[in-house]
Amino acid sequence: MQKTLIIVAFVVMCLAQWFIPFKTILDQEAILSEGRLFKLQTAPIDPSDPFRGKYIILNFSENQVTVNDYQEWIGHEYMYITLADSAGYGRISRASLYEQEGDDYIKVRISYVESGTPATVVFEYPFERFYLEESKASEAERLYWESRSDSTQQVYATIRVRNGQAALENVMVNDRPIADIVREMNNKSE
Amino acid sequence: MSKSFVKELAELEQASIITPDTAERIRAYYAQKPENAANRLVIVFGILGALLTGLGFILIIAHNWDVLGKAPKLALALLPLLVGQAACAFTLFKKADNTAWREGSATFLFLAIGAAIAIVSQVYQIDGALSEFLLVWMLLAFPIQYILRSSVASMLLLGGITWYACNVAYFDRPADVAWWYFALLAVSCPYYYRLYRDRSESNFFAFHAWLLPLSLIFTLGMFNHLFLTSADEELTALLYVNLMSLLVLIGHFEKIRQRRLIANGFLICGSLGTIGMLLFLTFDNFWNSVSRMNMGDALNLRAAAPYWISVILTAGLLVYMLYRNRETALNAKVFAFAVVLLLFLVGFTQPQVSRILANVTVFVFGVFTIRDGARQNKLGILNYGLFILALLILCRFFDTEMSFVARGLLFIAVGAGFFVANLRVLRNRRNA
Repeated sequence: MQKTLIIVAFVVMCLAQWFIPFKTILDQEAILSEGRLFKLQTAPIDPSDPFRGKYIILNFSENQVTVNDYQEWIGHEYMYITLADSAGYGRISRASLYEQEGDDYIKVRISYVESGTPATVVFEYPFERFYLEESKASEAERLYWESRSDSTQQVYATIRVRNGQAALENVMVNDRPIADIVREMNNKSE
Repeated sequence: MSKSFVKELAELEQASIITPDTAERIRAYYAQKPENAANRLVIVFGILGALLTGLGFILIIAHNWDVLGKAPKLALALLPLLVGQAACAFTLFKKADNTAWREGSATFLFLAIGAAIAIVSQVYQIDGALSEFLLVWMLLAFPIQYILRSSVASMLLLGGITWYACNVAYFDRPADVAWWYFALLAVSCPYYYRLYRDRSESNFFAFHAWLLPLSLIFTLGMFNHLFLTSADEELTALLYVNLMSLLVLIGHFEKIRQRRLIANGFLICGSLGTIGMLLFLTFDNFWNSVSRMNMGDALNLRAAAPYWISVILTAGLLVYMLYRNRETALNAKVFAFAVVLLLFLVGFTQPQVSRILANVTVFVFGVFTIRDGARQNKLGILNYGLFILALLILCRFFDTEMSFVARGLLFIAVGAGFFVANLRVLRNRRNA
């Protein structure tokens, strides 16, 4: 009897352990395949995460909104922003503390509220890290800083938005994936 | 049984020191004894092997191989999970009574779960908070300790939820109380109780007796967020005093007390913590801020609820232990929480009186500890008592108006005390 109970518990546990990664995979695939595409301008640096290998931190330029009454925004953890396409890049068209109508909104975490004139709310996107192969991360960072000082280069992240959820697709330098450029640079130096 | 010991038995038997019957009984005893040294070594290596391969897997996958497409990367991430589950299933069906297999496969599966979640997040560039990642991992891993009866899984869980709680309570914005920590601790309690009941002589039990008090000490500060009064910092300090008394009380449980002192993490953490907190209360600062407060506001039942709950818990356990241990004396430090509560009540109107009484309390605890050490003929405990007195004097060295001569004489007195007390105990031992 006890043995049966243990086996049932074991099977349930194993299923739960598969359920979480699979649900993440399905959700992300749905956003990536059906979500609307936006380009967001960014600026990365390179720390190391012991669990998830090397990544670059994306510093999005579109990371704050101006508000009328700043006190209304204090004490909240999350807010919702709606994106719209403007001259090829995603721009915030609306910000609210509550879920918004339409598909193109993202739930973001509020970093802090500034009370100056005009008052601003600074926030973080749910995708501020871009993971690269270990050997490429610092190379990519250098490339990023170079391209940043070179004003002719365009650097942006492509994201997909669907039903309030968003997924990071790629980081591009002059319309090419950053991983490709780094690979090319490594091949040349060898 | 070791070969050298067998030879010794034969020799003792030949020299007629033990009878052939006794020798046979000794042989039979060792032959049926389940846990011998070789077995223990296998367990240790089993666990180490699982830990190292598990961590190695995580590191290799974390390289984030770009040559692989998304699907192979995900398959690679989920492979350790499959291997871990298969090893656990094999253990359950074929090796259920083999400790090395149970601990090893449980350890590997535990790490594989973390790897699977982390790598899937990496592949999809999901930037989750560390505390959320740890919580999901621990929720998925907590049944392992029961299903595989694994103490390593239990200890990993304890470490994981402590890490999670510290993140939520001290590093997240906005910081909060980590209720999931207590939920997972509560569901693990039956495991701890079984360990206490059935395997209190094992090393795993001793590790738990250290990890549990340390985990509580690390995380208790989170209740700071629940106090609704301006006295939140002072009440958190008092909460810690209560915890220390509680730990000392748990250290008195029969099967824990039967172990060597070094295995009794509850008693050691509780005792050191009590003295540390009391020494903190012998300084001016704490009492100055208490004297500026209103007692009614600070100790309001609702606003200071976590504190009162901890008082009730500690007092309840104290009464139970007094009832259970009528014959044996409890360590005086179990009363620290009640003494500090009294000092706190007095401190609102008479801060200086409380401060002086805190000094007296530390002094009394020091003297009691010396007495216990002398009675039990244990130099370690005796010197610990003297050390408490020395610390007290050291603390007063900085903030009293005493003349240098008086301070000097005090130090000489304690130094002489160290010599005299140690010499007396050593002489008694020789004479005994």
